[in-house]
Amino acid sequence: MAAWGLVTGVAMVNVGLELLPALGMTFVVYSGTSQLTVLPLLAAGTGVLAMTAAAAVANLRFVVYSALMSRHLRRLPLALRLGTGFWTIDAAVAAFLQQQQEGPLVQRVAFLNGANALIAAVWCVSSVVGIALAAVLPLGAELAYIGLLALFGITVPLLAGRPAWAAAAASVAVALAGADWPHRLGTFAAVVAGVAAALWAGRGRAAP
Amino acid sequence: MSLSATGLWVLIGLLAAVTLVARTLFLVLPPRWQPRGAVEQALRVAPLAALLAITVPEIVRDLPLRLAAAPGWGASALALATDPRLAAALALLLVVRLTRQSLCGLAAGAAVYLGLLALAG
Repeated sequence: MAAWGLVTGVAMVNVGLELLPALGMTFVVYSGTSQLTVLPLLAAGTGVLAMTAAAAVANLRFVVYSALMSRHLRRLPLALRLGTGFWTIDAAVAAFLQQQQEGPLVQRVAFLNGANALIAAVWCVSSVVGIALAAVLPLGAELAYIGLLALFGITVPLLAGRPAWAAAAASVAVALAGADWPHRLGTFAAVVAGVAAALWAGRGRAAP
Repeated sequence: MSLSATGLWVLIGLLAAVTLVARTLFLVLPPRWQPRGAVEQALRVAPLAALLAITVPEIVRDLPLRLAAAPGWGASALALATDPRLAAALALLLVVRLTRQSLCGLAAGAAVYLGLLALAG
């Protein structure tokens, strides 16, 4: 997460964003997916609405996450639901599913928001460091790839059970086929394919 | 970059709205719209599917070029074995499966990746 934050911070400055807009992107948008999607479009002079539409498509996997988390969060007050949902991202959902699916509601929400707080702190601090030191940091593809390896490392413990393996196979196949699709549509298609494969692989099994 | 300062802040506001809507859509819909049963179970793999969809294409990104430049089985096998991205991911996978520690896996993957890059010059 820190590596991704650094890389995103540096990328924002390299595209030409000044300090305040770059900080706005980091703290207000709070979405590496949106930021990394719009930065090349911003550099190319694309219109605001087109960039927003591209970010909306790139964020579709979070709609799936919100459906997944709704069982856990739907009894919370609206403001807390919105706040928790806004800063819940991939790694927090993955950690939540691994560690804290059962137990009292307050415990589950505390775990999720604890994970969210940690991730948000790391993301924001590393992004700010990237923004501040963009001119002097010797950052390249190497650091970005190590950040990607960190994300890959999160997935490995999630590979347990037939539905998970089916989802992984389907997701990887669709992601590779759709790697060149615009606006990260391939990622969304891969998520849908993965969920569909898990549904197929888990059919006839009782819910735990 | 041709966007004005105002346009930039409008963009930031719209992106924040997009983020909020995407991440909270099902949290504000009425209960009858919430997923249930088998669908809810299947949705649990969504983070796994998303993270793999983001990472795997990047892991194998250089393979087509490397394989095209290495005709024959032996050269292809060597190209596969010495691809820094693939080797690092496999090292990470192996270490995490053995130790159940993602951080150890990341350290191993990063070491293999940087080591192979250094060897390649």
